[in-house]
Parts: sequence; C-alpha cells; structure tokens
Amino acid sequence: MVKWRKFLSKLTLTFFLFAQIAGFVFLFPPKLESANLTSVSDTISNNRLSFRGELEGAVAASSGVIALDTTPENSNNTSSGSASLMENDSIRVGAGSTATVTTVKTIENATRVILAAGLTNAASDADPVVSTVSAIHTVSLTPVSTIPNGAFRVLIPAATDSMTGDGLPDKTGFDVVTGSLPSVSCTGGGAGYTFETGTATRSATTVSGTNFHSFECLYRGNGGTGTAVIMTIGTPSGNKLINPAPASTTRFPGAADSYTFRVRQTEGTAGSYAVADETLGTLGVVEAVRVTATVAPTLTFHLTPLTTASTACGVNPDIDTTVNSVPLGTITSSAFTDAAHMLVISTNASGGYSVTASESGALSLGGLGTTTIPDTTCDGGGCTVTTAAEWNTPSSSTGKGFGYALQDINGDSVTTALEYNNGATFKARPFGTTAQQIMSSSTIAADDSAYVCYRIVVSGSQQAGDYQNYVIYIATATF
Amino acid sequence: MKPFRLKLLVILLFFFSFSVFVFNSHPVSGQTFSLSLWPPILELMIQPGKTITQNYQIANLSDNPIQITCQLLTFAPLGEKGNVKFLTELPQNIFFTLDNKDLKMGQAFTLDAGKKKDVVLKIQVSEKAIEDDYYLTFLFASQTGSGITTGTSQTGVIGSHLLLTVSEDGQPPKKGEIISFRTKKVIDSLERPTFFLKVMNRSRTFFKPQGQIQVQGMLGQKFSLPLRPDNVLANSQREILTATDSASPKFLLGPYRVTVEFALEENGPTLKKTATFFAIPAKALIAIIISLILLGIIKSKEKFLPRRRNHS
Repeated sequence: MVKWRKFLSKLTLTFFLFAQIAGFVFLFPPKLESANLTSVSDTISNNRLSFRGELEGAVAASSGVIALDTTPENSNNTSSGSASLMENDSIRVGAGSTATVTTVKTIENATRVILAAGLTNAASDADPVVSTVSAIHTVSLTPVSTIPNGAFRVLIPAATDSMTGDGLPDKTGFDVVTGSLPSVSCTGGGAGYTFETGTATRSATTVSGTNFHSFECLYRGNGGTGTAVIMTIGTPSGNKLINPAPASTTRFPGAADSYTFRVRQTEGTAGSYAVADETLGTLGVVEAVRVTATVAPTLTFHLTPLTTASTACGVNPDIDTTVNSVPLGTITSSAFTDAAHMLVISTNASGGYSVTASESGALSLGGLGTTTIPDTTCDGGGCTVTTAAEWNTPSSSTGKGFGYALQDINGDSVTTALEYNNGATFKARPFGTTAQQIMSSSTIAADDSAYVCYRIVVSGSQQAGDYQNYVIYIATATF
Repeated sequence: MKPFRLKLLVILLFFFSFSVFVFNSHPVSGQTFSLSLWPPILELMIQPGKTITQNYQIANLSDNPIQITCQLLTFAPLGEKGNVKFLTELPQNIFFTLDNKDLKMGQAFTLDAGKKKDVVLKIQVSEKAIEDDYYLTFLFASQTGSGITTGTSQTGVIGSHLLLTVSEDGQPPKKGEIISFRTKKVIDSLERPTFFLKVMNRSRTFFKPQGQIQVQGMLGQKFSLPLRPDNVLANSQREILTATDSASPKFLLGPYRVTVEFALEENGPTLKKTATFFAIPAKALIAIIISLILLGIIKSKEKFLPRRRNHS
C-alpha cells in the first residue's frame, strides 16, 4: 500500500514538472528566423510584354509608315518585327527628344506598321521603337507569424540600376519612371493591422545578384495570422509598373518570360527591418498573341452570252451572242432583231457596287462613225440615254435604231424605272457615249444578275453595209 | 381508283419540277467573261515627293483565257450614292506606272483561265503636286470582240477606285455640313422609321462620317443607328445610310426626337442636327375598328334570323 502511495506521488511530481516545463515552452516559444507566408500571389492587370524594337531603315518626317527590324542592332531592343504590337497601342518612334508619340493604326505584316499620325521628326535606321505595357500588381499573402508593428515588402525584379527608371521597358525586369513611381496601398490582415501609406523605391536592393524595386507597407498593431493581406501597386489612372520587353529576340513565340518576385514580412517600422517571413513567387509575362482574320474585299464581274433558246426581257433572242460581241447579222426594217447578255456581279465591299454601260458611238458603217444607224428614241420618241420608254413598235419612225432594255434576275440591282416591264412591254433606252448606270447596290452583293437585252430595227432607207460599234460595261465598287 | 390518282399526282409533280428547271435555266454560249479584282477600292495619303506601290490582284474566273489591258481614268462623284463619272484627264505632277517587269500601262496581257496576276501600280507624286484629293479608277478591260460584220463588240471592264490624298502634314483640314436630315413626320407604330441624311463636304479632302442617329421617345425609349462610314468626296454631297436598322424596336409609340451626330474624323469636330416624328398605332386601330364593325353586323344579323326548328 505504501509502495502504491510512493508510486502515485512520483507520478504526480513527474506530471507537475512536465506541466511546468511545457508551460514555459508554450508561453515563451523560441522565435523562428523565417517561415513561408502562405497563399502568395502577384496578379498583374496586363501580362503582355512591352515592345522595344527598332526601325529598319530611315523614316522621313510626316511619314506614317514604319518598318521594324527583325534582328535589332541594339541588344537592349529585343522585340522582333511587329509580332507583339497590336492596333491602337501607343507607340514612341525615334530617339530622345525628337521621338514621336502616336498610336498604331494598322499592322500590315510581320514588319510593316501604319501609324495613326505621321512622324513629327525624321527618324534614322535603328532608332528605337517603344510601346510600353503597364500593369497594376495586386499582391496577396497570408501572414503565418504574429509580428507586432512590422511591414510587408514586395520585391519586383528590375534591370540593373543604371537601366531602370527611364520608363523604357527592359529585357531583364520591370521598370518604373523615376519621379513617377506607382502608389502602394495595403488592406486586410485582420484587426491586428493598421496600414500606413505604402512606399515605392526604385532599384532598392539586390538579392542573389538580381536587382529589385521595393514596394512596402508599414503597419501598426499586434499583427495576426490567417487573414490575407492585399498590396496594390499602381492605380488604373495613375503610375504603374512597366512590363519587361522580351528577354531575347530569339525567344519562342507564345512562351512566357518568367520573373521571380519576393514577398516579405519584416519586423519593426524603422531600422534594419529584419526579415521574419519570406516567400518567393513567379511572374509570367507573355507576348501579345495577335489574332486577326481579314476578309479581303473583292469585286467579281461576269458577262455571259445568251443563245436563242433563252428568254430575256420577255422575248426570245434572234441571235446567239458571244462573250465579247453581239453579231446582229442581217437586220431588217420590218421587225426587231433581239439579242442579250447576262451580267452578274458580286462584291463583299460594304459600299456595294455600280455597273455602267456606254457605247463608242452609234453603230456606223465600217465602224468609221460617218454613216450611222441612229440610237433609238423609242416609240414616240420617249426615251433618252437616261430615261427608258416603251419600244415595241418596229414600224414607228422614231423607234428606228439601236437600244437596250434591262431585266432584273436576282438581287434587285436594276432601278425599277428602267426595268423592261415597268408599265410597258419592252421599256428601253439607247446607249450613250457617257457611261450610264445600269446595275447598282449600296451594300454587299452575291451574284446580283440582270439581262441586257439589245434590240435593233432600221429604216427602209438605211444604207446597206456592215455597221459596228462597241459597248463597254464597267463594274466598280461604290467609293 | 386511289392508286391511279396517286400515280397522276406523282407524274404531275415530276412534270412541274422538270418545268421549273427548264424555265429557270439560262441558255448560254460556251465562253464567258469573269474577272475578279482585289482591292476594289483603295484609300491612300501621300506626301509630295514620295512614291508608293500598291499590289492589285486580278483573277480570271472564266473557263477561257482573257486578254486584259490596264488603264487609269480619273473620276468625279456622280449623284449622291457613291457613283462616278469618268473623266479622261489624268492629274498633273502625279505619275502612274506599272512596276511589273513584263507589263506596261495599256499593254495587253493574257490571263489564262483560273489564273491570278499581281499588277503593281507605282504612284510617284512630284514635289510640285498640289495638296489635294485625286480620284481615279484603275481599270482592267477585256479585249473587244473582232471579226463581226454588223453588230456591237463588248468590253467587260472591272475597276478599282483609288482615293488619293496628297498632303504634306498628313492632316488635311476637313469641313462638312449637314445639308438635309429628315424623317417622315408621322409613322405607324409597326413601321421602322427611315431617315434621310445628306452631307456636304466643303473641304478639299474626303472624309467618312463617324457617328450615329440617336432616337429618343418621350417615355424614355432609346435606340441608336450607327452611320455607315461612307466616303464623302471633296466638294460633293453624299447620302449617308445607317449601318443597320436592327436596333430599332418593333413597336414605337408617341413622339420621338431624333438626333444625328457625327465627326468628320477621329477626335475631330462634330456635326449635329435633330428631327422629330410621331408614331401612332394606325394599322392596329383600323384592324380593331373593322373587327368591331364586323362583330356588330354579325350580332345584328343573328338577332333578326329565325331560330332553327327542331324537327326530331
């Protein structure tokens, strides 16, 4: 029984000592030198690479077209051709104070770019061409240590000290403009954090041979863990960090250039700012992938001859036409001789098209222009080169001559007033030496088609012989 | 009896289909003329003393070779819908040549069936050229027919308009005026409103109106129709169309205020004009009135008709 009591006493003493030691340990834990902040990320509002290339050949003042070098001479100009430019990008062409700032209007091909405005000053071969891409960085982190009165610091990789601060994109890191540094603000973290206005420092420190810009938020309070802190570097309308230019001219298109950034929680609000916790993250910056699809506008014009087996403008042609002639043959004074062509036009030009017709002159004996078959003035003399009228009486003295009518087949391309059957049997007019519109559309057209129906009848006193002229059809897009 | 009717129906259907094919066909001769041209229109701005080249692609889509010659003509706008009147005089101090080694302006070349050819137009603007707009058409003409006795020879021509602006600073002044902006004063509620806009270019260089027609009802209804950016050539008038009217609602009611506002160039001065129209549901009211009248007639007839007796 005594033994059992002694054993219990020893056990109680052991537990008491253990509790004492444990209490000391847990009440005064040893400080950790460094731990990893969790959930660290840097989201950049635009992850396109900046453009820093150079001119291929000199460009005269006022010229709005530039050619970009695919193998730049200056090793800091690492953008090749026009690959990562996009339309409406702001662009700076030329060196120093003579540079022109404008926007990209059109990217014609892999090297040729059309600017929205001509250059103010002439630029020389190999002069820099710069288009910066700036972005807001939103850094998120979750503290793992409770550090009273400390700071959060984000280090963003930069080029060497001498390269940074000029506002020109660098191939080895992000840039800023000295005197126009981005603003820094911090939020979150919970009740233990009261943040002061953040600060930005260009080319602040070097870690393992890499230069960094520093962005920092001091805080007052006991600190805390488990609640995310958000640091925002830059504002939409204010200064931002400038994304790097491509790391090299030979990089694989579409592959991101990676940069390692550092997020730190430091102790104290002054002095050495000993690093308590640190986490490294990776930023990827990629070239713009320009996706373009161009439907080139075209204009297509068909002229098709018709045979006597067809019906055009309500009549069967008396003769077959060929693609480039209407062999009227022997014509009479007692009946019309009819022939026809079919015109078909297509265009995807948004303004549509116009087809005009004109003749070299009236049909003349031997094509000499002296003895002619007149252009018709239709029944009763009612038609002119611009006005159509009924022409269906071969014996009409005013109707002797040569003319044509129009029939819409597809697309409503012929003005109603000129259609052969608009209040008439064969509404016609003569060709003129001045081109007259016969088909048109104010919008894109697919296979708009119409018949041109030629008709001729001569007076009994018409001098015998071969009469010739030529008719010209001109198809153009509407301007 | 039934199988006979079915057979007759099938035969009639077959006959009808055959007839449709026969009557819709276009009997044509063997050869055709078919040319395609890119680009159909080109807008260029160039400084005096500079040279520029432009590639044109002509394609022979017909099934036979075509003899083609190239030619340039100047043109002036004709009417207000983008049509042209060809002129013969070429501009002074601007020189147009072909940059192809095997081709000269006016010289015929053969383009085989199904083939394309790049024709490079070189435009040299002399230092003496006046800062102005020059409007030309680059024409590709087929050779006329030959060997006919009496008849006409046809020439098919396809052309591409060239709107050339010669400017030293690349920013020629643009000045325009709205000549007319109107709409029908009263429309039916189910009708889509149409607008007539005519713009005058009072400067020496062409512009494209960039803007829209905004329609606002008294009850807060709003929609807008973007203007089609058609070219208004120097010192000419042009009727401007809207790009689409799909935005207009299917039913309009009450008074509407219409405002057209557009700029002559990006960030340039704007022109503005307003008009009004009133939408009333006239067709719907007429339909209701007619229905009511018919209903009244039917009711009154029913009243005076003797009731049918039951004979059962």
